[in-house]
Amino acid sequence: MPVLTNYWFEDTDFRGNTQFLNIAHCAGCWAWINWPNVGSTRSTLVWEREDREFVVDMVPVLNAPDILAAVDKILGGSAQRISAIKAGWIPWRYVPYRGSDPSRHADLDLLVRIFFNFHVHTPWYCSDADGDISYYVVPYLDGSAHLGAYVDGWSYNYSGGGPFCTGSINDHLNSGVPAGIGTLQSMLDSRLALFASRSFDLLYLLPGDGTQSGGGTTNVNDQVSLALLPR
Amino acid sequence: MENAKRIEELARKIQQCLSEAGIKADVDLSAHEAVIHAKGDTEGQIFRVIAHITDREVTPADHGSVAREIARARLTTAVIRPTLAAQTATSFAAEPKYVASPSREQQSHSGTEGKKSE
Repeated sequence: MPVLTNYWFEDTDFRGNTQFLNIAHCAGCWAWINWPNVGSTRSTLVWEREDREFVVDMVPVLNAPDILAAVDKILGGSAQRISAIKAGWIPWRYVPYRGSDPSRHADLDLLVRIFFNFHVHTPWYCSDADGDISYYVVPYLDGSAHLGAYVDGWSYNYSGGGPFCTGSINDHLNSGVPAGIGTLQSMLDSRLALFASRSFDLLYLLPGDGTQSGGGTTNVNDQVSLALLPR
Repeated sequence: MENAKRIEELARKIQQCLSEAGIKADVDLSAHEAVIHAKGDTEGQIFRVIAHITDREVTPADHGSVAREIARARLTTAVIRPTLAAQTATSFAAEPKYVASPSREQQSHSGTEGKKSE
């Protein structure tokens, strides 16, 4: 039985806190949604989901011990990861490095933003710094209908570190964060290898854990699932 | 490189001046910055000395991307990508089949999303 899923987003362009509702319905029947109390929302999406849909919730996958250990090595001793790894979607128009190559993707193409919070201890003459480090991943199906993904870019931002330590914090991050692309790519490749023998008709992203039943809330900036239709 | 050398020279001079004043200071050096710092007390009064030398303005954020050629090479192999653009996000998925009729044609030309098979 197909499922109609409706998502309501707090922000424009399908971002932020997200309410969702799944309605299973028979083929050829209406899917009813009587839910006037969706709060303050600024955009909405609807997707009709097939029975064969296969969903991969990215957050648990990315928080596997080997990936966490690899990410912690990226930071070395200069910063500490202080959160789990999160994975949300971000339309290209909101990616920080879009300005350097705007035509690389279309404005509403979705990238997966893989990110975590970090903390930097500083000497006594500076305040400690807290921020987040992000990598932007493009998932895709290739011409043979196989699943692939590549790391497209990175960013970081933080607060604190003043008045004298932001320069040295940037130096550490500017050497460590871009170098982490290779580490993350190899981790992605090892996970994608699990799907190497399978081919798919369609790839899309779903907010949250991609559940097909009930309703609830999530934040699409923080959690997204990969949905695949096996061939 | 030249700046780094000058920054270090200046930092060492400041450290030496402090030393001559009886203040033992440490120096933290990087390619673009030096911080000369000391803490102590004189007759029960705590004092702190900090001197900062830098040749740049920094913002607490930065970003970058893989080389355009690498991205282009990857993207040429990508046939289907997640998008929120109002169009069919696939070339693999079977397209809905409609019986051609004037009303359907009309609908197609009036902006419904997706390609309809002939």
